Amino acid sequence: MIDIKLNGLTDEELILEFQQNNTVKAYEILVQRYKNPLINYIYRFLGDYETCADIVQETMIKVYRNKDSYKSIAKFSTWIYTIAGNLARTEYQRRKRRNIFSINSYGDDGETFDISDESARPDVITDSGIKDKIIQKALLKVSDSYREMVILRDIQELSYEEIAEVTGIAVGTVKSRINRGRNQLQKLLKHIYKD
Amino acid sequence: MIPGYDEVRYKNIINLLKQMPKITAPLNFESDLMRRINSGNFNENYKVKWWDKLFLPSRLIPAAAFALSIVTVFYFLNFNSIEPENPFLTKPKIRETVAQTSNKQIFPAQTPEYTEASVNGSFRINKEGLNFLQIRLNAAEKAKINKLKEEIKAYFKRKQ
Repeated sequence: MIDIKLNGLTDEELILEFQQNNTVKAYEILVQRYKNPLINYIYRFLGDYETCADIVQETMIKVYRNKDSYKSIAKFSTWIYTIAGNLARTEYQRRKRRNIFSINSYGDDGETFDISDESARPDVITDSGIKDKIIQKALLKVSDSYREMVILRDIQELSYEEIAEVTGIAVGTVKSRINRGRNQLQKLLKHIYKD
Repeated sequence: MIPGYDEVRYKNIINLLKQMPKITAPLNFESDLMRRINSGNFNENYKVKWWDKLFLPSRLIPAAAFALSIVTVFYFLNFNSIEPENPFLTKPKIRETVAQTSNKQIFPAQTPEYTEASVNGSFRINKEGLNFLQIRLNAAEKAKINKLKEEIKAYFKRKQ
């Protein structure tokens, strides 16, 4: 009965319930709602499934531990995307530093790293599995500051205002970065359009 | 929503991105998460504790090499240093200078005299090689001391 009632609440109402009454069920519903969108977002940004699952877990733990730092003036989705984005960026920078000292260099411009072979994962296999892998690889070659914006806009379908809030960048800059990212992707994926 | 100019311009690329399959969380995601929360072990997977990092071979080996080099340097430095004097094996230095005050004159050691025991019961000490100070007394002080000696001798005679 309580579960049905909680399921009908908005994200902001759920986090408020968790803050005020420490209702773990409300937190669990939030986890259920956001685990897949965040996994998708982080995976498209980093290209490593294991790491992205760890980052999303860390995000959820941060939400649990710092629930009181959420202020109801912001949307819950922007708050949780900000946490996940910060963790993903930290991980990306860590990997980049590691790659500098590593003997192997990944990608053409040194900005990207190999995509792990996910072909055995049933949730990745599609009819156009190869095409998806090519797009993902191309996405990882886009500059990280543009890539994040493109993913949030075109894959996660967030509004420009939400992206600006998540990344802490002005809306105008967000728009220009998205277009630059799309432009880079277009150049990388020219051959796919011919199909 | 009416698409803007940029949405139309990059229509193909936007469609490609939208058609990409959605990645889902692993099946045990929630159970793992709740287990971590309930155990209070929040940084189990993602972060390595600093003391764990301290004992990584990549950090431990250079630290051990540094410590070893420090020990080696100190070992060799110790060999070159002057050995400290053993106070039990060295002879005491004999004072040559003589300090003089108003009525108390300090003398170096007198000529050696050695007797086993004197007739009147007093003992003499062999003063050879010793470096002690002797105070010169005036006539009044000597008389006072002699008087005291006589009193002590008389006391012991009475006792006997």
